[in-house]
Amino acid sequence: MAGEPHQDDREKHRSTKNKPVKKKANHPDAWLCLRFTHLSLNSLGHNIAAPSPVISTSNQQVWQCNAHAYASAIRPGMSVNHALMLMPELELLERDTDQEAHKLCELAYWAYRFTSLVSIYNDHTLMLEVGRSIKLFKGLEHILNLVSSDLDSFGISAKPGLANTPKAAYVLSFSDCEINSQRSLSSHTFIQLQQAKLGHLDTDPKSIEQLHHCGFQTLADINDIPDAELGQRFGADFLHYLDQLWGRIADPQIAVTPPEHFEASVDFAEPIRNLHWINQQLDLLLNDLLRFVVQRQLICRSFTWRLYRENNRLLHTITVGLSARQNTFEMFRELTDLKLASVQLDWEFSSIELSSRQLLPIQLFNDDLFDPLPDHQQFKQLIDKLNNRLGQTALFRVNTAAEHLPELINDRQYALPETALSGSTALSQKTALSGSTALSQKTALSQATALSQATALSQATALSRVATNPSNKALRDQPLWLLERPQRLAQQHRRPRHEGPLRIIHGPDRITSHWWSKLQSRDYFIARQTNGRLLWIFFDRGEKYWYLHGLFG
Amino acid sequence: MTNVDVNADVNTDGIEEFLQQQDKALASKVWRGKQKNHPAQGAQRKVLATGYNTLDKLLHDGGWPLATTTELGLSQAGIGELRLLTPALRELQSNSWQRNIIWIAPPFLPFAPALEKEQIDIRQLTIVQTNCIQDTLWAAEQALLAECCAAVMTWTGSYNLSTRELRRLQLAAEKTNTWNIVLRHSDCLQQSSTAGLRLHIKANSFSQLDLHILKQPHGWGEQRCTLSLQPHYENWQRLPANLLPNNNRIQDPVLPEQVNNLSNTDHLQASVTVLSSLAALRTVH
Repeated sequence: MAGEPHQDDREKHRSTKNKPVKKKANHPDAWLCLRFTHLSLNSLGHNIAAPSPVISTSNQQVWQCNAHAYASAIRPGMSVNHALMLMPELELLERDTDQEAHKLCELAYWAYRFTSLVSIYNDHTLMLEVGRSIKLFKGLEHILNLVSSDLDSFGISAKPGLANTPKAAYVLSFSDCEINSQRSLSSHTFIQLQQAKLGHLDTDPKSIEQLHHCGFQTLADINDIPDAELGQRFGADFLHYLDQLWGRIADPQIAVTPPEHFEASVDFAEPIRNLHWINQQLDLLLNDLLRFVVQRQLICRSFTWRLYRENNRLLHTITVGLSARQNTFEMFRELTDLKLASVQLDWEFSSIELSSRQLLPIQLFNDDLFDPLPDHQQFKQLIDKLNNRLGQTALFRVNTAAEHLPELINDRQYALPETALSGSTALSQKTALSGSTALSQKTALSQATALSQATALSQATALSRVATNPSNKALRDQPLWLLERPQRLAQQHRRPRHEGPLRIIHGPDRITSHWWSKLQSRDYFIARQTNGRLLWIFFDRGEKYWYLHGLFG
Repeated sequence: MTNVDVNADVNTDGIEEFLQQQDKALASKVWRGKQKNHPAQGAQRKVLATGYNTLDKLLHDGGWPLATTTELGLSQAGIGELRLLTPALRELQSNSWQRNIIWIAPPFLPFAPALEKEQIDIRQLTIVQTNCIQDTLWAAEQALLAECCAAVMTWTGSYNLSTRELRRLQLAAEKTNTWNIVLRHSDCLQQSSTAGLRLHIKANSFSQLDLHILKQPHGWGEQRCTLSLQPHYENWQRLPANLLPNNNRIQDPVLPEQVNNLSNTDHLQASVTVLSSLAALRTVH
């Protein structure tokens, strides 16, 4: 009846009463079902192989028991009193469904590393579509090995099942037969499914009971009955279930997507006063973050630590910025330590939270083959380090802007991680800059008008700059040092003085700008002090004052 | 002089033997007066041309010694210390794999157009501003240890660096072959220092730079020279003669009122930029 295992899949399915398993040409669906048999115990932090007997209880009944308890004849479903009689030293834990759901969700995010389609099948089962991942992982066997070794390391017990449809995979997760990935998936599962017990079908228990009453035990038994007869007796829902089980109609699953942002927290049993006490927890949280980032193929640009007091009141927030193109644990840890070193806690805290919202898709980069910059990565790390200790505005570069006033030409660019990302933030920083450094109070230009005007005129000024630039460069000597703000000079008989009389040896260079808001007209001179130092001074023609603006350093 | 040399040779050989017996790593770290003659170390030594022939000749290595600390003592910021270093920094940026230059706690802002004119890549120049001397020294050490900077320039002002602090910077510079430049107040030069090269620079009244080498690697110090830096003071155009009293003999500052006698209101005119055309001004020698 059922085709021989060595026969071709397609041929065999044609022979089985016209019930072909749905199959795609390039990547057949392969569903891996992970049924967590002891999720309730696992979610409460107990490994089932633990040496002491533990059970989880629900409504005064044993819900799940670990291997040790099972060996002492304790079975799920028996009353707690009965279990205690069998084994007085039993540890009882109340079942916590919220914890289970949380654990299952965590496991779903973990499973996301194997496939993009992970779904939560029921309250203790995950369904993974691994057919599309076979090529990436170089074989189904490799995926299965990875999954089982990961689960072992988490201490979580699970029964796997592999089939072409989710429902079949779930049913197969009950069979004790080893998954044989060497052989063709369809032929393998078909035989297994034929032998599957009807009690393991996750459909209406009533119809299963009816089937049992009729004397049916395995799927093979009801396979021989025509659909019409089955439908008449057990309802259309059961037929629908069977169709989905055999893959004759689609069985869509809801995919779980890991969240866009990372958030994790640790609660402490006792209030913590010293940050050194929680080094281990910090490591764990950072490892979680790193795993999350790697899994989602993201790059973390900043993460935030939040310390909470016992009544959930925020005590302290520490933000760590990163600019490197690769995230490593050592870097996370070092930068965290740098930031924490400067934190003064005036209250004890009872929980700590790590979150990261600045996550970006990883950007792969190409280095020049002939002009590689091996120090690039290290330099970014250095910048991160300095930024995190000294503050975001401590590091900057200077650049030339298309402006006329020297303080505006000298454009500061902060080495913030964000500046490298988008033009818009860079521009907004520029506006902030012109407010803080470039225009001193005396110029009294309103920031907004100056900037909007400047952008409007940027083309015109750029043109005029192009026109004047060559002559500028040839003629004008400019100082290497610029004062942050022009410094007003003392005057004596209308002559400038700075630590003694000044001798003007070159000038004037006139710069006129900002006629559209408040005219700046300056005559720049090079002056020499008696001790030989060369200064760059200007006379403000509107205010009639002398200012020191630069030094020939 | 010859006597000293002979003595030094004898001494060095003894020390050499002793050190070789002890440890090879130790042998490379102990300072010896006649290291100049040591071929193995001479091969590794990295030197950067200063851009000034006079200075190159005075330095035993023929240039700025890299992988060590260069200590500059100046009485005042802005006397020409940057112009002294710019040729070397330019050279470093054009020939080195590592092009990043870090300035830590400079006294003023570097002026980007002037640096561009000196052909220094300002995209590779990072300025770090700090609030206290501890941060400055920490940042300097981190930058030196990061193995990604060609040069680290640190301004410590008149703070009296302890021997330990100087030694830490020196070791960090040696470890990563980074040119470490510490700019300090000249008063601090009286204190002893582990820096490889110590220079006292001073501007003279002709706006030239008087250099005094207090200490340098691989030989004796105490050399002096005078450099005239670009742009030369003599090359600058003077003000037109008719604007100066006494026919330019004594250069008194000229007030712009005098310059603009003719049209005192022209600065109120709407114009994008008016640069006085210097070419139109008569050069007076």
